[in-house]
Amino acid sequence: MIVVNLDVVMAMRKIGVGELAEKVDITMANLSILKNNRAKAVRFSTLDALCRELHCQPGDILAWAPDGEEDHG
Amino acid sequence: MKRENLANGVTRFTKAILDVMFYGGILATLSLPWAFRYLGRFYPNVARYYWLHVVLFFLSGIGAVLIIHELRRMFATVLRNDCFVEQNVASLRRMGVYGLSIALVTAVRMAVIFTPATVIIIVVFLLAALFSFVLSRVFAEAVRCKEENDLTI
Repeated sequence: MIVVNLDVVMAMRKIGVGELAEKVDITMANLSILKNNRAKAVRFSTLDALCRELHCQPGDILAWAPDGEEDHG
Repeated sequence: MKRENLANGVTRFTKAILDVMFYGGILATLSLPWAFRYLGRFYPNVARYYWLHVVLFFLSGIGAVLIIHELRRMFATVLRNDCFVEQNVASLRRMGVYGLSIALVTAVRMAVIFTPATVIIIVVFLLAALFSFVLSRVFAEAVRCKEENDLTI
């Protein structure tokens, strides 16, 4: 399964949900869905904006883990 | 603006029609014993099979009222701009079951008193039930697509 490590990257960059949502131009509700691993898909445009604002690579935000292992560390 | 006004007018009209049909349907169903007593004066068959008519039409009436009840529930979701929900899939499925039940009850009635109109009613409700089942599958697919779209960030 794909695990979203957005909360880890956000904590490293010391940026809050509200601020990041505003910067990438998505709603806080949608960002929370993404952060809490409830999203079914991510648009390239969203990923692009997240990487731009968080100064990271897609691989820093997304990771693959065997089913049942949500926390990748 | 003009199109929006027209849509609002159609919405209000449809809601009014559904309300009238729902409460009118309940009244008509409850008044069946008296209605058939009155009709029995003019139609000998109705007088002869009075209780059969009352019971079978009462069952059909309940089915029809339940169909309108489901339609009103669906219409409420349309008014909320949130019609692609699992509740409507279940509503359409239930409407199909009610339609089939009405067709079945009418078929029983046809066994007692055969009229060409009864055959038409059976065919209409059978087709409506089939249409309802197909529409419920279409809605289920639409709900799945919408959920996927909503969860695409």
